[in-house]
Amino acid sequence: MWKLVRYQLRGRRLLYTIGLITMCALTLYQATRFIGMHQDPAQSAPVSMSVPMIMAGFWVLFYAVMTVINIVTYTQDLYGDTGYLVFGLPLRGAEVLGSRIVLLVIDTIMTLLGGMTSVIVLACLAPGLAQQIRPYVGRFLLTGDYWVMCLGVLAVIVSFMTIMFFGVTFGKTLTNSKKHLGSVFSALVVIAVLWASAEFGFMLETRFNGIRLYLSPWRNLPILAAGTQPAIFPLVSPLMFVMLGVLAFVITSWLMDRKLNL
Amino acid sequence: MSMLVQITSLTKRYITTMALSDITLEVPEGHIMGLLGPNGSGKTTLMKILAGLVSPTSGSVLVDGMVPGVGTKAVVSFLPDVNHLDRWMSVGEAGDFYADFYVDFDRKRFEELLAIMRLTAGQKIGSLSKGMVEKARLSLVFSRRARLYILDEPFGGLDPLARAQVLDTLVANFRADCSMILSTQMVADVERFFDDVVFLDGGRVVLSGEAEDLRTRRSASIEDIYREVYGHVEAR
Repeated sequence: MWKLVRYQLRGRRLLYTIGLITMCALTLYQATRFIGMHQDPAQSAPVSMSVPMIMAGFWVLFYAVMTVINIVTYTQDLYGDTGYLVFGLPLRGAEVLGSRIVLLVIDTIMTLLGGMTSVIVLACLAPGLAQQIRPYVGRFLLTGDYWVMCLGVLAVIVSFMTIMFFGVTFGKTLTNSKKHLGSVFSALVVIAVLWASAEFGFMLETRFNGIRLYLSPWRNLPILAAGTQPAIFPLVSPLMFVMLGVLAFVITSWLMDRKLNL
Repeated sequence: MSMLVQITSLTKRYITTMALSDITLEVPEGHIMGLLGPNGSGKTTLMKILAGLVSPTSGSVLVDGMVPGVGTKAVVSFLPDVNHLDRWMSVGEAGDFYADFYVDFDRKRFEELLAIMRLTAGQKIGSLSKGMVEKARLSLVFSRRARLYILDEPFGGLDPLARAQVLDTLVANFRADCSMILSTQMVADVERFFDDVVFLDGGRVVLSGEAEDLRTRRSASIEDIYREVYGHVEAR
């Protein structure tokens, strides 16, 4: 599986390079804006904080693009000619699918690290921000609630992607058509599963109304105005969704091993 | 004589199409089998099932004693009828990829084959002509010391000289402990290499047997028999 991850990373090197250069340019552009704001005494601190927020928004966009590329390349493997290369390998379906999940986690870690690096670069180039942020960086990174939130979000994203992989694979087990029939089946399956999980999740949340997760991920970052208040997260429906993701992984692996029609 | 491939009552049905119907055949070790038939006769589906890329609807398939899956993919070297290599890869990277995943990949042989095919490791797949890509793909497939070689239309993009060169390579690298299933429309060029021939039409076997036996019984070449079986539409 790790060899396949390495190969897929190699295939994406140009994409990663373009993405990171773009993000680097955006960071520098934001830094120049930030310096401009600090030279203008009329600008207040909350206004200047919008710059790192915009930067975070860019990183979320970067992550969204990488996630879409992940599902698109998987679809191309199944419906395109390169599928003969990947699915012809002496690997179990779980390994092929696992490599895709690992890629997703790598994208996530890269986005987190990139986002942090952006903040550090902004802080270095704009001394005003450094003074604002520096006292809190260490404590913020040691905030357990923040990491619990990140892991929870990652688990939900991975589950969502696994359901997408399941849908695409399911479409390919019904027909060997490289055209539209399999894609239509795939889309229908994904929509049906997500709709059912949303309905079931809503029902569970109503039934187990009192079970909530109280986290204060931003409590060590008081420069965020709302950071001190604990945030309430649903617990039952995300857990159900993650279990659905695990089930989707198992079924997709089985379909790849037994029912694929390339 | 041990059988490397054993297919019994194999059927493959898609939602609206019957691709293969009640196929029964065997490929002995050390034999080259020609799989012949017009477009849509089921050749590619049969090859994909043997390569573990398509699941059969019913019937039994054994390759080297195993049901197609992870085990057989390690001993089957499959050349699809389309370019299955990523365009970003160089020829050398494609070799690295095969070496990483297939324990039977012989890197020295790969380098020899690249030299014969006049390819270099640094050439990008995306920048090669159709014929050159075909040569690179054949080099990769024949650099494996596989038990079964499955070649689907391997001469598509090759000019006559290159085709002769590839055929020489093919024969020179063929071993007695392996078998080969070869599908082609260029029957005249390769029929002398066939030990066995299977003619498919509409997903069914319409004629099969040892190539020499068929030639003797019908007093005709395999190409002539092809014309006789299918008419003049597909034969060249």
